[in-house]
Amino acid sequence: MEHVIECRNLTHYYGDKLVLNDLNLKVEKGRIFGILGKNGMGKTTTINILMGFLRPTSGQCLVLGEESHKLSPLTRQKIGLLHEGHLAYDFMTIKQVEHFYSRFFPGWKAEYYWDLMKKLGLKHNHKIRNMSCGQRSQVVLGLIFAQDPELLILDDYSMGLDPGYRALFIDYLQEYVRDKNKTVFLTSHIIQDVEKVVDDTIIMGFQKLLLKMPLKKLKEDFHCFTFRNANVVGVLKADHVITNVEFYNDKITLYSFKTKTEVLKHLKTLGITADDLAEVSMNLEEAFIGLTGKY
Amino acid sequence: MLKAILYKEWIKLRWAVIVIAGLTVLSLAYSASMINYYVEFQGAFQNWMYVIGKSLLLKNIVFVKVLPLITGLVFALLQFVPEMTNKRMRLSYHLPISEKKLLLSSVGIGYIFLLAEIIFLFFGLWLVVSLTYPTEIVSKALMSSIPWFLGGSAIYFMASFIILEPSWTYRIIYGIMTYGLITKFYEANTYDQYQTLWAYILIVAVMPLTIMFAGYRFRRGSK
Repeated sequence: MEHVIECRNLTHYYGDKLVLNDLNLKVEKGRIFGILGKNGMGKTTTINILMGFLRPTSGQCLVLGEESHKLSPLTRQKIGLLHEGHLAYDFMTIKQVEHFYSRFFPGWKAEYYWDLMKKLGLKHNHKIRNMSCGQRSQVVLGLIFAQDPELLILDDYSMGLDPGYRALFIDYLQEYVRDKNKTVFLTSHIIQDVEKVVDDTIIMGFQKLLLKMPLKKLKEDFHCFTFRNANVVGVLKADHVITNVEFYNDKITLYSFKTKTEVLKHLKTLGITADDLAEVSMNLEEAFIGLTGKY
Repeated sequence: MLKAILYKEWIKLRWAVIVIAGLTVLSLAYSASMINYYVEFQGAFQNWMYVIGKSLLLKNIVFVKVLPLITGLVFALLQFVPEMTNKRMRLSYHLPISEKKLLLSSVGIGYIFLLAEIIFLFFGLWLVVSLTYPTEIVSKALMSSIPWFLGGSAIYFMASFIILEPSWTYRIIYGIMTYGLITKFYEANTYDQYQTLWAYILIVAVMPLTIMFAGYRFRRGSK
């Protein structure tokens, strides 16, 4: 399978502080990936390396077959970047920014941009700096769509957007990538939105990759169980069967990639009684917390 | 692509180019009126004594001295502060054009506008001074003003370099160095202090290369 992004043994330090430790990651073509991670887990560092704005301390990060920190202009043409905060040339107007970008991309599809701008209902001489964050997000998205890139890297696309603009963003993105064999690599703090759009999830833990798998498989295979047993509070720990465990009074919540039968069997071998063990359904956000912990 | 970069830089600079051109006209008019005032009210003999002996002419054209400096600084601020605010330079670095070409063309375009303003000012100065004084004085005044024009060029390149530098510590260090360097261009208060002109020209000629260093540091994610 062709890999659009490939990180090999990626390690990065900020001074003495280790942020990424030996990260390995492969992103296949034609899928939408959502990268999730709590604050300080190296998500932004990974994105900055992918975008070519940070040179890793060691290891290699290939984007469309080239090292991310020295991408050729031709390869950059194939990558659409959405920077955190919907960064745009805010001193330009709607018309000026389109005119400027169109000169750099031979396959420029202006209709994508103007369709979005029509929906925005603003005059063509409206300055970007006078727009709301939501309006600016539409301008940036329109520019990326018009660029018609093979790979879209969208860093924290939901930042500053109200629910309406977030839904709009997701709708346009889904419509745009459908049947076009585009690869999307996105991050967001709004996991409910990510769940609607991604095919695969990448979850970052402390300095490392915790998990990379199709969302469907994660939902099918990752389980949450609860039971009550005051004797095991603080004693039961994560192991090869239990991915994570949390306690609240005598209520134990445990997360596992094993089935209920296998978990029960495992608890029995540990000498733990869990007669009331019950499976609780999870959405992606709950699964994310289950994997990474609340703290 | 170069046309697109020219378009972007023009959007940032157009109002400043017009305002500076207006200021140039005003400062030349002021210089002309000052020259006229001294000639009219002090008499030709005394004026001649001051012009030759005490380099009075250079004091009369003080706006010509500071205008290139202000223009260089304003152009650098207008071009590169918007690029560095919220790390907007990332947008430019992702454009499908080599970084070297992008940086040198951005600075080159800004410098062409600055140079146009300088040439306008230089010819204006020639016109104003030659209306009153003989060729020898005109030539001395123009030669003495060249370091000021070079000072405007130097501040443009150095200010661009400092703004594009990602670290505030380095910016402060470069800022102090620039201050020391720029004052050298404005030390002369009398005629004939332009013998070291070639050294000034050499310094200014290598300055655009510093931009590459700032760009490299930004790209590496230096802080």
